[in-house]
Amino acid sequence: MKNSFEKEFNQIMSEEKEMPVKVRKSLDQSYDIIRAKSKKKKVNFIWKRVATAACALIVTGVVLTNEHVMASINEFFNFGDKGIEQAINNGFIQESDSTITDQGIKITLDKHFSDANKLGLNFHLAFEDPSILNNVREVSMDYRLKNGDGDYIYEFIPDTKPLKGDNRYTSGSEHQNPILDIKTGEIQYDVLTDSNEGVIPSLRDAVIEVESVNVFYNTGEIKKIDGNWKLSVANKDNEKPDLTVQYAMKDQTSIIQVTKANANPTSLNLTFSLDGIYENENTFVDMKIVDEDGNEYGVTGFRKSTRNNKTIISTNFPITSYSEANKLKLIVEGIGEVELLKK
Amino acid sequence: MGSLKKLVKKAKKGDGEAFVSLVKQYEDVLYRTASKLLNNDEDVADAMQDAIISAYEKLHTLKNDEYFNTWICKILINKCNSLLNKKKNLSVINDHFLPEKGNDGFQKIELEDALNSLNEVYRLALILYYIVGLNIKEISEFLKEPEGTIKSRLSRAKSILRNNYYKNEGVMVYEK
Repeated sequence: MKNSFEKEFNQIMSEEKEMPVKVRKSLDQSYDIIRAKSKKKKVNFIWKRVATAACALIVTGVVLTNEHVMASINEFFNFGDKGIEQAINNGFIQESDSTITDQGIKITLDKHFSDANKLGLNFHLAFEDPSILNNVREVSMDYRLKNGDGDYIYEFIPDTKPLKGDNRYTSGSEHQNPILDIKTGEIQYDVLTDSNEGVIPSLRDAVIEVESVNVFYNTGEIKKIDGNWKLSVANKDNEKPDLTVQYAMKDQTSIIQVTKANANPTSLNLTFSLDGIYENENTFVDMKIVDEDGNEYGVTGFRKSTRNNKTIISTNFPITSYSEANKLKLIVEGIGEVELLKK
Repeated sequence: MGSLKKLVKKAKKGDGEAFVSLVKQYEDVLYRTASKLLNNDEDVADAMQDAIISAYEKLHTLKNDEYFNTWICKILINKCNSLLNKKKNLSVINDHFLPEKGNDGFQKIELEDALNSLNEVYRLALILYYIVGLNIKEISEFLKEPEGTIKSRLSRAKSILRNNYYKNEGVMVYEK
């Protein structure tokens, strides 16, 4: 009966076992946790080095127009988005320096930038009682960005609180704490938000309403400190000329129909449509823009929608109006390419 | 492979859904690996959850996207080992051979049980080779042991299994 050890051994080693319910549940829970983390991450990311740079600038008291400082910023602001780096190198950043203290926490909006495609906020928090931060893992805030006309542009608010706006401008965002100094009670909190559709309104007399500071501990506990911090958002760029450069398709009969290609200071916002319904999102992961010099720019996210048997993609590429490119090529691997000319 | 690389690329950019798709494609191997190393479903569930979340958080450290599967498997094995080490205070299996499954001689011992009872260094070598699909060189790098040691562990492991397997055959025949 057991004359075939090898056969049975190989069978055991390669057999597919049905997963017990307990393991299945745990796996599905893991996936949910990752999806939640991913959303949070997306609501967060890019500002790490921006904050470090901002902090360094405060310490040294240097202004942004100095060439030497520009180089330093480039180094500090190197958070992986070439478009934002280029924007900052070109002075596309605002210093707000708006400060409010409540509940023993001083919150300062140090710097920010925004165009239709991306919005970056750089906060500094100082805790009067640094012991609150013992064993801290992360600090975040519940806050809303309200424009001067009362329109809520962006709300980083947990599900437990109602939104005041309709959350129609932004696609996602990321946040980070590049500085978590438990000894001094100093925290840096940086946020980058983007709009795949490129519809973030211009900031005019905007205010950031901070409702809570959330302290996450390594133990898994959370301390929520409710308060009222209102920070005004300076925006001197309102007085600057329009920095948008528009592009249009060279060949109107291309299978990729570009309906919008606007290069702003932080990125190129692009919308195109394709005939038919493309269910697989992976189709668009590797789409890229190639400039005249052969430089390639990929995407980190996009919005896919369908309408009238067409697939519509909206996204940002990290090539900016400062690039002053006359000709760009959009390549969607496996589908085709289209040349874009500056209008 | 093309699809795997694409998904890893997306996941590295923070796309949680892409990461979930990657793990889902490989969850059977992960489960089989953990279930062969650990003794109960609860531990398997814990180790897998721990490994998957940890892998997501450390994904930026993955140098070669093509090796995602091996990489996450290694994380899982490390988690399993930590769990086993924690429990070592409670029970230690030092014997290279099968434990006696009772003195009555009537207890059925299957190959699966024999494998589960194998000393963990042998069991791990078999799992890495047959389930995870690593070659001798890769196992040697992972376990930081010479290739010769790995070869002999694999050979010894099978020899132990074979011997015990046949040793108990008589019991089974008698049982019938």
